[in-house]
Amino acid sequence: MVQQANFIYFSPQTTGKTGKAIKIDKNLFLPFFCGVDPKTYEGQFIINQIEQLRTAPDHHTIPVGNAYRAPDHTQQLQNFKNAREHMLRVKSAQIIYQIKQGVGDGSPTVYITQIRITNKGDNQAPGFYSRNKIPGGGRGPIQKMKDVSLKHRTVYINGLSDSIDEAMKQAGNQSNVLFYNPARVCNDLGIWSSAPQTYITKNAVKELTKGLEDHKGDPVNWLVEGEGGGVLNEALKNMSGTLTGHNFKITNPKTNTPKLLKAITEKKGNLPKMFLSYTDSEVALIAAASHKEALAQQIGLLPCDKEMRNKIVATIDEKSSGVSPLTKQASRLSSKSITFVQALNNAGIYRK
Amino acid sequence: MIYPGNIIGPQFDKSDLVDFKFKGATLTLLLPEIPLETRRIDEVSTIKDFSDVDTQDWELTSEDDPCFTLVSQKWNFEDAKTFDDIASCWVEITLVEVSEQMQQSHMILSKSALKKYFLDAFARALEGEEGANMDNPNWPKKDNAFNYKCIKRESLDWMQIEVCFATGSQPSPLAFIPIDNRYVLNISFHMSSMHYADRKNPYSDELISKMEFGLFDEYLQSINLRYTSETLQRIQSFN
Repeated sequence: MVQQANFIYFSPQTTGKTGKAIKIDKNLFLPFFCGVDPKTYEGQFIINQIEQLRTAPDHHTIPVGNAYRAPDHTQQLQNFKNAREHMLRVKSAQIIYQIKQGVGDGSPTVYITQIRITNKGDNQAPGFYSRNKIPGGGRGPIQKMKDVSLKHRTVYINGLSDSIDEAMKQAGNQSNVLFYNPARVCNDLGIWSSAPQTYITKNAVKELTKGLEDHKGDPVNWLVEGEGGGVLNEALKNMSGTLTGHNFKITNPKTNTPKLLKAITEKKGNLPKMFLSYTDSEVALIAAASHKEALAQQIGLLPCDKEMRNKIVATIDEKSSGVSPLTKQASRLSSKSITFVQALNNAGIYRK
Repeated sequence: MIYPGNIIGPQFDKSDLVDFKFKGATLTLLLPEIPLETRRIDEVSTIKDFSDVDTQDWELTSEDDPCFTLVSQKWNFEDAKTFDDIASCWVEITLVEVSEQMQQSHMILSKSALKKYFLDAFARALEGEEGANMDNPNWPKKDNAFNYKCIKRESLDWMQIEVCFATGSQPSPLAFIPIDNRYVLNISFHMSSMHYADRKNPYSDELISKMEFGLFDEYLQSINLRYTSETLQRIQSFN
């Protein structure tokens, strides 16, 4: 059900002066900000295609047919069809919208009720991979590990990446074993995602759970980046036993971080000095800002020294304070003051 | 290059030219302009003069030769009808410093020595490689010299081989270009097919692989390498 008070005009071009007006749920501001950057070619393209919905026909017009329908019946059918949800797919965005004439609308209006970001990626299966060096330098072949041996090794769980090549590049020199977390898994387990897990995600969780369970007694270092926290969270939830000897370092987590830290400590995993760090990822900082109290509370319960806990909480406080105006701005959006795209452009200062 | 189907992407005729200087040659590379995308890579070495560079801190290859990335670029190809990204192309150009012995003998400027140096090294690096495709006679491996191809050039021929960069993907081209007695340039292209979770990529892996090799050939044609007269004399004495 569309709550009209929550909707604001999408952009200055979509206020209904030419073509249909387009309105968007202001609660979509943060997911949109995190998924679409208007400074990039792709971001511009997505915004442009949404603006094109002004010219969308009442595509849901009732076919003429031969059967006689009373005019009010036709109108009822038309209202019913228009109120159905439709989807515009443009690059990585899925825009869910309805066309309806709400109270106060002079004509049928496009209401954007949901946006989903479906990041593109390669077809590589999730799992443990290693890279060979080659004589020419640069990138060597990446091979799926047949016998997954993680003892005394450092495993990198990647954040969002287009391909396994890019994931390996993210790992850099920190590690020579990659747990590949493909884009499709990141889509399912992202902080804004409410979608059910797909087969590939279930498979990724299963492979990581097995890797953890098979090395329960071994020393293993884990470096977890961005969306990689999501798949680790799920694997820890599914695994049995404890992880004594496993060290976890997390950078820019884009997941429910308090839940992840709780799961690691419950499994008796170690969180070394500065186990949690934030660099320049605005999405991770927005996630931190939205879970700030729970995060501070969870860190307070960790069995590491108090000074270290205080230092990490202070760092999160300092870093996330930079995006706090953005989260406040998102909650205060009103149709009288600004359009969605204008607010998005203004919020560009929070992008790194 | 005219891309097949409705594919659109960066063109080499809209490129920047970048010069790199070496003791024995000057190299000019084309760097295509690529659109500002969230996940693009567009990095070029800030060092342009390698005449007298200390390579001690460089990364090492599988043969422990120092190597340095000159260019790393990653861009996307789109379908002009749907505007979906259908493939990404990753170009990496690295500089390899050959062994001390090779440098002193200047043998890397000999076509046959260059071939032996890198084919032997690849055979060592990829020894014991397994995979479903290893029975395919056309799949690059030691037995077929990794599909070695000689790239004819006026002064000194270059070499091309193929390597599979990731399990399950098609082989990609890799070229070696001797610069002088100290350095060899390594150029690799790798195209990956891109997929959105909710729709199918209309272009097959085979077509994307064919495009990758076509683009690679075109890129090699664009490289301008000018040897010094001393290097040219050495080359003539060996070949």
